[in-house]
Amino acid sequence: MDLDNAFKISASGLRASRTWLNVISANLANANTTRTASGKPYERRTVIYESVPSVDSFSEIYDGALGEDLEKVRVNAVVPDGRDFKEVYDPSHPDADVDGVVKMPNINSVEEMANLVMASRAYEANLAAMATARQLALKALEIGK
Amino acid sequence: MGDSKLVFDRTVQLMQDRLSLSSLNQKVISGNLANLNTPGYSAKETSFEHVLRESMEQAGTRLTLSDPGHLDPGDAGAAMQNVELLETGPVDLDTEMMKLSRNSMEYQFIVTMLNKKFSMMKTAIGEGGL
Repeated sequence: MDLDNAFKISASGLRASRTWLNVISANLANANTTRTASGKPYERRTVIYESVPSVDSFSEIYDGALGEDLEKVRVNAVVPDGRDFKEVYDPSHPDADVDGVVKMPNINSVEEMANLVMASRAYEANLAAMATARQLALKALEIGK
Repeated sequence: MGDSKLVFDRTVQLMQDRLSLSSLNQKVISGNLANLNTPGYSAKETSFEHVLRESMEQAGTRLTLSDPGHLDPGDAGAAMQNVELLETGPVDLDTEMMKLSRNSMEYQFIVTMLNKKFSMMKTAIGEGGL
């Protein structure tokens, strides 16, 4: 079906937005985590989006001359963003160093919440596009009725 | 459909092309929305409107236009065949949502028109009777 690709593209957008939501949740959940497997405090993570051609099989390339120009989205990687840890003076903390300073993850909850709204808007937009594609596909079935 | 012009005339062909174009438009808009947060991605748009206008400006020889207000159907069909994608800069969520709903309305409108056309044909086949 012709609108198949539209569903796939929207699905890729939904998947990417959901990955971002997961990453933001992890950042918020670990806002005070001072111990990780690597021994360091939790490092804030961020996603890298990448647009990729929406065709993935020969028949799709064959069918759609414009297919290769349309791009879906993919999460290329989830990476630590490399900013410095926050240093908090708290001598009673078990992870404090000799000067009583604890290294905390540098997570700004306001920033995460703003990103959360953006990710959720992107998710809704993709959902709307998918619902519209579905509506069009159903309408096409009415041709000749 | 091409050769059976007696039954399926130009109107049906044009509407069919317009439906294909709307499908393409839907995919283009979906792609733009999916890449809403992709750095460096440029929004895409089909060139149909532009091509249609050009095609209408290059006055064809099929019909005599006795009044400047008359529209020459020109080769709107060809305009829908040679669609290209233009890049229009960063993705704007509101613009894309507007295009999404407009495209959906256009698609449903054409399907309704197509059904009307078929029902007219049925009337003709039934000689206007029951």
